[in-house]
Amino acid sequence: MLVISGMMNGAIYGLVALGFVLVYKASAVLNFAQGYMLLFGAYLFWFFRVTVGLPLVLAMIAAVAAGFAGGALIERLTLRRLIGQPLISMVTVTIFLSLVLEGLVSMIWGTYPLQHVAAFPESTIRLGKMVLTTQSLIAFGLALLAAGALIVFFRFTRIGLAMRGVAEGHQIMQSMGISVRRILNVSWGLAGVAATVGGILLGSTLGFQLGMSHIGLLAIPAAFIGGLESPEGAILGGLLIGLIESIVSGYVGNAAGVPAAFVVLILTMLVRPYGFFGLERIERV
Amino acid sequence: MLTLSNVEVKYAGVILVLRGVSLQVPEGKIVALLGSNGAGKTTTLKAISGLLRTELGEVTAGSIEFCGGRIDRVDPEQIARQGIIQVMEGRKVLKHLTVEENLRLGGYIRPAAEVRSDMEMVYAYFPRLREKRTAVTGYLSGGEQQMALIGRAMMARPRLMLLDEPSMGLAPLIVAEIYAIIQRLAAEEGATILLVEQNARAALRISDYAYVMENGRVVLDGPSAALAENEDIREFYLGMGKLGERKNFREVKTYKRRKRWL
Amino acid sequence: MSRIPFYPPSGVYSDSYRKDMRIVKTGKQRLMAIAGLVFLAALPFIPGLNAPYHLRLLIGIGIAVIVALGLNILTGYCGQLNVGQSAFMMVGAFTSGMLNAYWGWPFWASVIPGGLAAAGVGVIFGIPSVRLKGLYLALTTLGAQIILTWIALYGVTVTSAGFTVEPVRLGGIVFNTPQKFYYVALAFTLGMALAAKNLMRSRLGRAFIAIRDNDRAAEGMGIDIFKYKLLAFAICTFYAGIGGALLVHYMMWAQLESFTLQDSVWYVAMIIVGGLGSIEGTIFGVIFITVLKELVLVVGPMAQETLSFLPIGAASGMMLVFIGSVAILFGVLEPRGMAHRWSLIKSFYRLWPFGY
Repeated sequence: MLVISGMMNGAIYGLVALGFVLVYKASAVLNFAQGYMLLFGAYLFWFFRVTVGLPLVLAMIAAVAAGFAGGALIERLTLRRLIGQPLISMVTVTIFLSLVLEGLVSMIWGTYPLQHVAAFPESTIRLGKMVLTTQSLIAFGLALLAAGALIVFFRFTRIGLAMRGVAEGHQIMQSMGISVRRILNVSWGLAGVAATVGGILLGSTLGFQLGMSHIGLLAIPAAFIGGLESPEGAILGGLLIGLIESIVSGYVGNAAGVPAAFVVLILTMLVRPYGFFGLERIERV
Repeated sequence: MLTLSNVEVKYAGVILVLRGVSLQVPEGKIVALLGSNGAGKTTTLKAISGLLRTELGEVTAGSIEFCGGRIDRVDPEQIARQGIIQVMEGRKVLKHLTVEENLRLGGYIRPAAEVRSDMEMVYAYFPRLREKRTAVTGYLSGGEQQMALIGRAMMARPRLMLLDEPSMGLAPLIVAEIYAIIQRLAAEEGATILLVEQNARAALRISDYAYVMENGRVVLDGPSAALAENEDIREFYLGMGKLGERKNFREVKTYKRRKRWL
Repeated sequence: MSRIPFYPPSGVYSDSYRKDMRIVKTGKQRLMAIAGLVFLAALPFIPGLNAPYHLRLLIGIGIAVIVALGLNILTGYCGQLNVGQSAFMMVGAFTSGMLNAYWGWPFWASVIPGGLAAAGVGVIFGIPSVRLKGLYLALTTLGAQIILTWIALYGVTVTSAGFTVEPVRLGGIVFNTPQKFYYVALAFTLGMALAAKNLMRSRLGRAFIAIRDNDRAAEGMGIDIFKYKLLAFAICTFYAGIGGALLVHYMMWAQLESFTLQDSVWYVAMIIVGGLGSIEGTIFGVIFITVLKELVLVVGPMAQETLSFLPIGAASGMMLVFIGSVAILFGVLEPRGMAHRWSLIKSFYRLWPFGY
């Protein structure tokens, strides 16, 4: 049972980790605001479903579209101006961004949890002795699907290839006439989509509340353990972290799952510095 | 085709790097830009390609015209789309991508249908790249990386190619090979090239016209063949004194002549 | 020079490395430094500036400067990102606090062990830096934050609840008010800043910079990079430990809540806003961020009262949006930190009226 619930949580971590991978792969920036983008996306969905009263599917589509626009807008307003600047200043900006997003959410919706909305039927499926909820199955399937789509996207499409190029150096891409801004814009938009999808899933299982952003804390080790550049790694990392968390929490208690995940992570990094599927950095003196 | 007149460049508003550079690149010619370290050659190229702006640099005076239009206030991507492609110094390949992916990105601004055939053209010029097609570029040798870079620039079908020190850190044999290809490119494809070099001898051999820069100024220019015979050039850049004479650095006349340049 | 000229000298007259690396280069600089020191020392007696509130703010800034300086040595000079600084601060704080509260050691005896304990733990978490760099290393320090907090919360009973700590004493003076503790904080801050400035001008500092700029090339020059990286971790976390020890003796109360991940992130933000690899920049950055945070604390509740029609938490949310936007704006306009702008202003002043 612990294994199953761990895997299901892990799938959501994996989905969020995909958001990290997307931005990292396209800009070599670790987006500290990913957890808060997820929070914002979830609340957007809640807004369309409850406040506007759209039917479920329409509300999801609207939220995902708004998530894309939001991500692109973030890039447009902040990171665009930092093209060509040291990467670390971009990373800081994402830290501040998380403040703004958290502030916006509590400004519009307040700090109390919102009324519960189920995004998916809350039925259960029995498999022998195990009981699975439909929601977690959908989350699991979606995570795998998203990872597959991203792998294809980065390997075979023009814009996916350009994103990988942008991560290596902005000047190089500009010298080839590739608009770094547009590429970054799209990749942030997609990160917004990943965050919104994760937010909808998480919100309908855990409830819509500010604490949702903390999932970013577990998604980070998931992304790292798999390797920051690899969509398949993010999913596997997510599953692994989910497993460790639920098993350790189950047997040790005291919320030991999170630190345990980090212990495992640090040990893994000592053996494989770039995660299991990460790109080995090529360095020459 | 390309005209720079009195271009002045400042970095961060306080450091003046170019002090009024004027030069011309006519269509279908190879023009060389020579000079020692810090003379402002690379800055000149970056001013043309617009990459200066991401480094806090700015063209503060003068103008740069390309095919009749001013480009000194245009974004680097736009300049590249107009047909000016810079090959940056220091072998800036996209090192975690394969050679073929590098080339595909080079052709990003071209219609997708022509990328295939262009790639064949690049492979025809650089057979070695075809062999290493699926290799990760970061693990190639220096010469191969330089070839991948030039090939990547060719994929964009540039009207003007800005080549920044293609010979840097390469063995003489490889340099010769790369220069032979550049010459072929100029002859067969009618490419226009602005070449920045430290290796004055090689650059003067393949170029039609050359400019010499010192301290952010053009101090000398002329047809390459004539410059190669110029007494000062021979002495300061090619390391050849007057025939049979031993070099004497304390010689006052040389010092004065050199000083005039700076 | 017998007289102190109003204008700076017409150029850089350093004819040796030693002269070029001097902190105080001209007489005018010396004069300004002395004036600044006198001002800082007299501050608790200047009416209008000596309110306990101002002094508390300054003490907070002083402690944060110490912690951020350590971080800047590791991150700015040696190039190793650390997002768990406040956890190391916690180690120092609890070590020093417990020595004081349970074994009766005075502050002066427990502050150094606090720093050393933090440094010891820091070195352990620095070991992965043999193989990891950049963001991957940042992750192990994030792990340090989470693991150390967990240990303090569940592993040790004393630290999870918090405990009282004695104030600092020197002879008959008890430094238990902001006015008095201000001098302790000032002395430590100045001392640690000078030590950092000097350390970074030394052979050690040059080794750190070499590792930051290119660790393989540094290794090729015969610098034992593992040793120096661990040393950088030790210095960084030692500073954190000293800062933590000061904090608990100032608050006279040690608690877990003073050392959160959020705080660690703030320290990173401080050094980046101020300028990586710059001691002066660290001080700018700390002041900037502290004042911003203070604005949230002061203005937030006030806004909540006047705008009562908004949902609960809306006002503090608004302040978060404000502070975040200001910081983003700052990061966008000044991506290389305040120290970069400062050196531009200095060179503009030195070269004026000829811009170059």
